[in-house]
Amino acid sequence: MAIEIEARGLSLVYSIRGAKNGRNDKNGKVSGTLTALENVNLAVREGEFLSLVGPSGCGKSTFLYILAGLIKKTSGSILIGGKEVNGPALDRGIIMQAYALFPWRTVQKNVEFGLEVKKVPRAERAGIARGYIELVGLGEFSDRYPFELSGGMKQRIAIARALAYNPDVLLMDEPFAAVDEQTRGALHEELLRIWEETQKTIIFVTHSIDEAIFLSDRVAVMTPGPGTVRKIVDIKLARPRASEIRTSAEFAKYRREIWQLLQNRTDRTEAVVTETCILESEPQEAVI
Amino acid sequence: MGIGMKTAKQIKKPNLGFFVSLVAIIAFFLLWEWASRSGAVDSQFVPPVSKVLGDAWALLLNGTLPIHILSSLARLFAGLGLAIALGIPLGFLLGGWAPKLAGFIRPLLMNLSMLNPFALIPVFMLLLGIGEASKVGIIFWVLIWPILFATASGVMQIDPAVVSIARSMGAGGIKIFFDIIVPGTINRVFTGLKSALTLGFIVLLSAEMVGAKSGLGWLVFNSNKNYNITRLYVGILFVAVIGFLLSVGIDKLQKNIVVWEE
Ligand SMILES: Nc1ncnc2c1ncn2[C@@H]1O[C@H](COP(=O)(O)OP(=O)(O)OP(=O)(O)O)[C@@H](O)[C@H]1O
Ligand SMILES: [Mg+2]
Repeated sequence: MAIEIEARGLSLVYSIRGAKNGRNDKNGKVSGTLTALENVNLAVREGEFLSLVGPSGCGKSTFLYILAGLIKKTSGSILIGGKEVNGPALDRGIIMQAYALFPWRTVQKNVEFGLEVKKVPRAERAGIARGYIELVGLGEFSDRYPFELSGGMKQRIAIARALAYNPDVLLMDEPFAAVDEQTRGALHEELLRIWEETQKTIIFVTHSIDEAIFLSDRVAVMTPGPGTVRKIVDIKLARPRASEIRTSAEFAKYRREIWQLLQNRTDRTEAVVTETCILESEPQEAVI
Repeated sequence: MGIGMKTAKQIKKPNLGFFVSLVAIIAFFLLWEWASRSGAVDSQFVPPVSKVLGDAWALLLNGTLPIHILSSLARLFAGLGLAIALGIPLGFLLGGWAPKLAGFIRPLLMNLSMLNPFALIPVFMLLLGIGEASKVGIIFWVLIWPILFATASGVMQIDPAVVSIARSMGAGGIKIFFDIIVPGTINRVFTGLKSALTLGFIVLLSAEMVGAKSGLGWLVFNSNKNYNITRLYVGILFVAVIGFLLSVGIDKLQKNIVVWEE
């Protein structure tokens, strides 16, 4: 079921409303447009866990939205399983940072949504949904509404919802940004377990270097907007990974490498760079 | 985890508000009775509440009150039905396909509908005659705007991420409409309906005072004209009771349908 993804020379230009009169003309850019992605080349292997890191606004979410078929690329090509992406489809599941659960549906019904679209019979879909709700450890909450859940629970339901209709590709946009350290740790292990079980291809966007290293086969580092892939770092840590690995020397080496790649992004002096830095995790942080 | 997850709904609060209201009403009635009987107020203009309630009971039993209540409610619900039938679909259209237009014409139409509806009564009489049509027509006019704009603003406040997620799972237009847009809007519609219904009821009573032969408004007006003071109070009392029941009823309906919000 694993599937590969390939972006070739992918670009995306947003047109910006309210800037049509040419007043926003800066640095010779065409007014009224914003280039979010420019010539992105990235090949994600079958069943790979790939993380995407890069400064805020470099186009990571935009990239996932294009993959999900929610926005149309401007030029280049984007292939999933060898086929050009042409709108949303059930072979992909996106998990948004804002959870985006359906407030008017119970946990159970939220998770069933994709199965309804797939026209899976009622009884069967209830069973499948229950299975995934249990998989994320929220079995006893299946009759609750989203407003009755904590942030971390909502996140897990969003994951269960994306898993339930069994897409080959999971697109995860800063999925754990809003949960506490401990919950995040538990969710990491859960996610890796699910990934190892289901062989899905995962693209995972995060601002946390540690999270990216811990989870991924490879980490793609992006340049500031307009975003392109600066470098792909191969994470050769053995699997299955336990949380102690975060304190290892190898881990620290990757952390330093990615940090550096993000630091050098403007090729200016270090002082300027650190000033504009928006990263959450310091390279020294977990080397205690 | 289980303990922390008890919801507000499960922890039933003692219904203190209801109890306080009940005590207040009884106290008010007792004061009324005393004031009227002791001569503190002129009992010709304020008959004792026991007399009012007695008359009310008699008028209920002989079928007079039910006739008037039913004819008022029939007009109200006819106007409401028309306002819903037209206002909700138009609201969906406006909110879904022309949100900019909605933002633009909303203040205009809101002002227009806020135009003292009582002043519109003669206009409606002129256009639709003094029969049922003008009364239902005015209710319709008063109710449609809040319903239309509540629906449109309900559509507009739906989280775009929720629509995107549904699309990402391959949901088509029809599924998105019925599974996202409709439930995402309904709470706002109820809110609009609630504010509309109270105003609509009051406007109806006024309309019934002009050229009607039945209805609670007519009952109040006619009793006043014939110096039947007790019956006047009966009418007012039932206006209050029906108004109260209507707002409680719609509240209950909203709570029963919109179960997914705190
Ligand atoms: N709908 C839109 N219309 C116009 N410009 C947009 C739109 N969405 C995003 N952009 C712009 O595109 C660029 C990339 O945005 P995107 O959300 O993809 O960044 P990101 O890498 O996900 O950032 P973050 O890490 O903060 O989430 C930004 O400059 C943003 O302002
Ligand atoms: Mg983003």
